[in-house]
Amino acid sequence: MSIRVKNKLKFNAFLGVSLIFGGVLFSGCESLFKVNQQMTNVVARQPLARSAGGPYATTDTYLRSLEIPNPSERVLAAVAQLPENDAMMFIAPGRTPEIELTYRVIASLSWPREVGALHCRLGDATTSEPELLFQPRKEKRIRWLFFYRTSPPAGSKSVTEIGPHLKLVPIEEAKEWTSYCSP
Amino acid sequence: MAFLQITIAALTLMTAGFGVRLLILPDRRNNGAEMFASSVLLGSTFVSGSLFLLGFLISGAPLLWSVTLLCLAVGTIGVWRTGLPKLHAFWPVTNPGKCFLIISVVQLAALVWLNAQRVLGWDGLFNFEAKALLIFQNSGSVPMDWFSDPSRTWMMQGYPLMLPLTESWLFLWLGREDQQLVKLLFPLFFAAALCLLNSSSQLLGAGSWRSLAAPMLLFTVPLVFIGDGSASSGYADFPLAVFYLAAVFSLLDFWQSGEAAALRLAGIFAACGCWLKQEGAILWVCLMVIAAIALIRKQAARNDWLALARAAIPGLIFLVGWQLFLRMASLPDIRQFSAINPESLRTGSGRAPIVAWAVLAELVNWRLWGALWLLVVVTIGLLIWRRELKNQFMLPLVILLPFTLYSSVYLFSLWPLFVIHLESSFPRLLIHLSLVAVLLIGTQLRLLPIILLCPGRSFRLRGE
Repeated sequence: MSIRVKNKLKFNAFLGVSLIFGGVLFSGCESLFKVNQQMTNVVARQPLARSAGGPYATTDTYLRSLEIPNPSERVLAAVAQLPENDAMMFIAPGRTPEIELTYRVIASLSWPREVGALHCRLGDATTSEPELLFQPRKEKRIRWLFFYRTSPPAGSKSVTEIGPHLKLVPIEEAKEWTSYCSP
Repeated sequence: MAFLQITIAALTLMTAGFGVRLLILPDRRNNGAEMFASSVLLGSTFVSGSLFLLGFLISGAPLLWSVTLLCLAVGTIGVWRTGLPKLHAFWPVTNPGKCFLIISVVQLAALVWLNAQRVLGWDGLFNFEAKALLIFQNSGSVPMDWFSDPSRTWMMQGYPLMLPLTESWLFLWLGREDQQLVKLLFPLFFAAALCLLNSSSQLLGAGSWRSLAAPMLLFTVPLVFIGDGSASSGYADFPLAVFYLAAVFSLLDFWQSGEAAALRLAGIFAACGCWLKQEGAILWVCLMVIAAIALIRKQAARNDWLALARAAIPGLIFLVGWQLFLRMASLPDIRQFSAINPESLRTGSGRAPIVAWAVLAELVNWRLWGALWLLVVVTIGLLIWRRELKNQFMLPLVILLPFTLYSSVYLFSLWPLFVIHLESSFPRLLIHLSLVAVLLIGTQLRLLPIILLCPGRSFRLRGE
């Protein structure tokens, strides 16, 4: 067989394979999408491992518990208005993995502001003592409180509602921490 | 546009690595795959180190452009001093080379797809990406205030900063944070691992199809691809495994060729591991000890011992320098392990059976490891049975020595439930050794059909 014929055969084979592959790709975009979705369920079975894409793919997934769209951007927008030297406290009803995760993501997004964590242990039958888990430096003044799945004290002014479960409240002077844990 | 910016960031990084590699080993034969791997590894070290040091003097655009110019300058000086290397097989011409390319592309495609599907893991976000973000927000320089922030002790302020700084390099080029695009850094490390596995196999005597065994075996280890510490999780464990593999590769090269420059490169790669993660220090110690054992067995001359002393210098500089820096930064005192004293030894010895059992359970966890550790045991058993262990001690030892140290540290864990500590972190430590384990199996055990088709005995170092 001459070289020319061989080359022609090669070219035809290449063209055939390309056409078949291209045809499958174009006609089956929807099927490919479905296969991709099914595979995602296999490799990222837990919703907390699944990426929705975008610049805040991970923090958005980890803030699912806030039950709001684009949670990272909402938190960033709320925090951006606050002075960088002000410290904050994240107040939550207990110490569950979900609360720990939410606290850490919010603290990460709030940089350079220091964010402490207070776990109230509300509804915990074994221990009812609030736990101050992380604290900002003593020289930093705590001027803002995040209330996560717990209500701000009655009569709080200028409450910023980041979502149904997260509120940002300014304070003049920090009171005894346990006072924020009243159910 | 974002991909273009990421590509420029990666290329400048690799240019620096290429230059550094040429300057370290100017007279060596050059293998395209090994050069690529060295460029990625040394480049990330160079960029992160430059950002860290220059960040004390400048920030913002001047920092970005200074580091970029530095990268290009190092690359240019490297080529100018040594000449453009004649790279063998940058594009594969042989059939095994083409097969290696196909295997690599398939595995890399799988990893990129996984990266797109999954988010960063816990440590990937809080210990690395979040640090990269705050470095980026601080105009590229490391904010000293952060080290002494008591409200962020959960971010592990004492961890070395190679990965966060390299990620912040991408952010600086992008001009914004991106938790999805930053994961493109890890396929680069993965490609480096594949190249090193192939090159190491060839170094161990496999010039053709058999050098494909190790890269193929990598596909059978689930935790390399998925889960905490994997190449898709954003943790530093997989990159550390690649640095360790590179160090082992250079050590094997020294053992075979006797070139002091190869030993120097092994010392540099091991030192880079210390800049990546704290466990890198353990791997560095192991590598130095094994190099010393090799020299004793070789009845080495004084020059070789001097070469080993010189190879240890980068690691020592880093370890001492980083500890001094941490003292200056006045970190909050958080300890996970107790100091070694008679009291802790007594407590630890009581834990030994439980630790041993938990370690064993981890090794046979097929969901994470497939048959990897079982095959390592079989391979070492086979070497003993063939009476080849005495001559081929190096590869088993680079696995067994750090493995023993990693297992023993849990005897001194300060966690109230030390088994939970072990179960949560030990698999990640094993990742550091997984690539070398794959190399051991791939080169010593004729398991895969591709290897069964090949005649001849297991590979042996020519120096042995």
